[in-house]
Amino acid sequence: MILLEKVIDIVATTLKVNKDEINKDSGLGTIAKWDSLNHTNLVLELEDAFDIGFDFDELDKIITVEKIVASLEDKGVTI
Amino acid sequence: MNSKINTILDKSSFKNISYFDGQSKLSYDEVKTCTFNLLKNIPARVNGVQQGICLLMERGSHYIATMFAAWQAGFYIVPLNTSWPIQKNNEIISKIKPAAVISDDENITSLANGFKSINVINLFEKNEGLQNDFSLVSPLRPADVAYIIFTSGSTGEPKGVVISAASFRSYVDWTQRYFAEYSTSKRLLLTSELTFDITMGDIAFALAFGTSIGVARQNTNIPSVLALIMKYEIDVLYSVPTTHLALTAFAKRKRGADISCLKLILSGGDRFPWQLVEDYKSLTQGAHFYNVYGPTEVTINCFAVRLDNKENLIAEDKPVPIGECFDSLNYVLLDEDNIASKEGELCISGPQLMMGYYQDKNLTDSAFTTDPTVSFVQRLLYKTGDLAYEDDGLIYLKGRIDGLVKIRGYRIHPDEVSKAIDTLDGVDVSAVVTVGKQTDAALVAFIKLDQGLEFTKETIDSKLKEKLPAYMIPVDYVFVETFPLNQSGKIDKNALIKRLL
Repeated sequence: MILLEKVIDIVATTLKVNKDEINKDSGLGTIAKWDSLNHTNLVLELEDAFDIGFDFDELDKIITVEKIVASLEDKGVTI
Repeated sequence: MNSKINTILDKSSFKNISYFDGQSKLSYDEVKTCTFNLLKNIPARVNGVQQGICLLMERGSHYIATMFAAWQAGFYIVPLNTSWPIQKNNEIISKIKPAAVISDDENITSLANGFKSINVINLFEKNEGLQNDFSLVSPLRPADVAYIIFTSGSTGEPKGVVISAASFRSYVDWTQRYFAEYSTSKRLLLTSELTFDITMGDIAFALAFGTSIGVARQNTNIPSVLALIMKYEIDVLYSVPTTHLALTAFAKRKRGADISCLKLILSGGDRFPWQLVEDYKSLTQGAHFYNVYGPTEVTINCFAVRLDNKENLIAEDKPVPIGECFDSLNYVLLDEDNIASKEGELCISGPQLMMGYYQDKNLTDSAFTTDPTVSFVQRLLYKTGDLAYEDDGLIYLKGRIDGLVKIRGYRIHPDEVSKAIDTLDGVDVSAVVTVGKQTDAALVAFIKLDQGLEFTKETIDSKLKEKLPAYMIPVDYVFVETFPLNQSGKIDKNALIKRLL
């Protein structure tokens, strides 16, 4: 499984939506379920799942699947 | 500038305000430049008639600095929202016929033709040839309009609430008196929609004390809001309950999160779960927490109460008060017979009443009544539409007058039922709606449980029976993960009702 798929998995589980509703361009506000409260949960879920901590100054950037994956890659996360 | 007739900006603290958003920082110098650039492009008065400008640009420090510049130049402002449909923004612009729409690269092309638009970048361009002569500037007068805020009307047609400079000034003055102990506050953060009057409340706070204004560019991205609070050591935060709830939930779990810089927290726009006060106590070092209440029509707020020091009031099974009326205003609770009573529709009089609804005389007339407690003159009262009661000197809300329903002969307010549900162990937040009409009318509750919990209808029923009479128990419960919110950040009951259809 590639990192993108794993992230999409976590997003879908957290937002309680179908996996095929999520792609790399999905993000905060692009689908109804990805609202402010779910986004907050998602950030925490991702930290737990990959055992990483997002830096405070990147919290305004990791708002789409693609940007989340890029940030995880920067942190050396692999599957 | 003739400071004697300037209604909002004559406080010396105005020049100390700076504007930041994580990307750009502006100060009074830039506001001054913007003021003169505005006047170079458009007149603030035509044949003595004050002109308005609409603001349609991304959230950020330029948005707020332009507001101040417009007021300094003598314009009234109409804030618009880039997250609204283009059609709604254009409809409002067509109604207002502003002297200009101030916009930015991203939004200027969405504007309908026929209106003058100015790119905000040009307004902040320093121009050597600019006549920086304040004798040419005619600032807002008390009788001028300060702003028009469009809110959703019950008919679906947006209504424009027109607020005078004198009303706004009255609110700024109240802020200065009421929050005097926080006068050394350094930085506040705008997290509400800029088209929502909580933003005007923040601006009033800044004007009262010279507090600098931060703008959360991504106000729905709560983790980034938390990062801004930490980065800029924000000490004042005024938000809707949903933002506070998400923020405290995140701060509790995020490693390294520290919001102890917050000293003054205000919640308004909706009722909130009492736990919020406790949550903030554990996350800050004794920050003070206030609940504030007011319709846009009475200039931001008209009631306030500090809650963190009232432990007897903050308990799971007690409603949260909206507090005491501002010292500058008066209120009356009018019962069904239009008699002042201990319980009834909350009605307000005083200098903060709106001038009226934009181009809507009928709606304006129906929003006001006259005060039956004053017999010698017709004193105007604004009818809030909120049902309230008084207890021990504090005012509490029961719900909306127009939300009252009659079920099997009983007058019930759905909000009263949801308040009771909210007090149940394991319930995070709820909303109760009415379905059906007349004899078929019934209550349905939407409930968000605390994480990981599952309840059955029977569990809730039996718990609720201890708190409510049988006729107030909903016929059904729908368990939800999240609630749809309207533009103001409140639970969107119409969207909930649609889910049932």
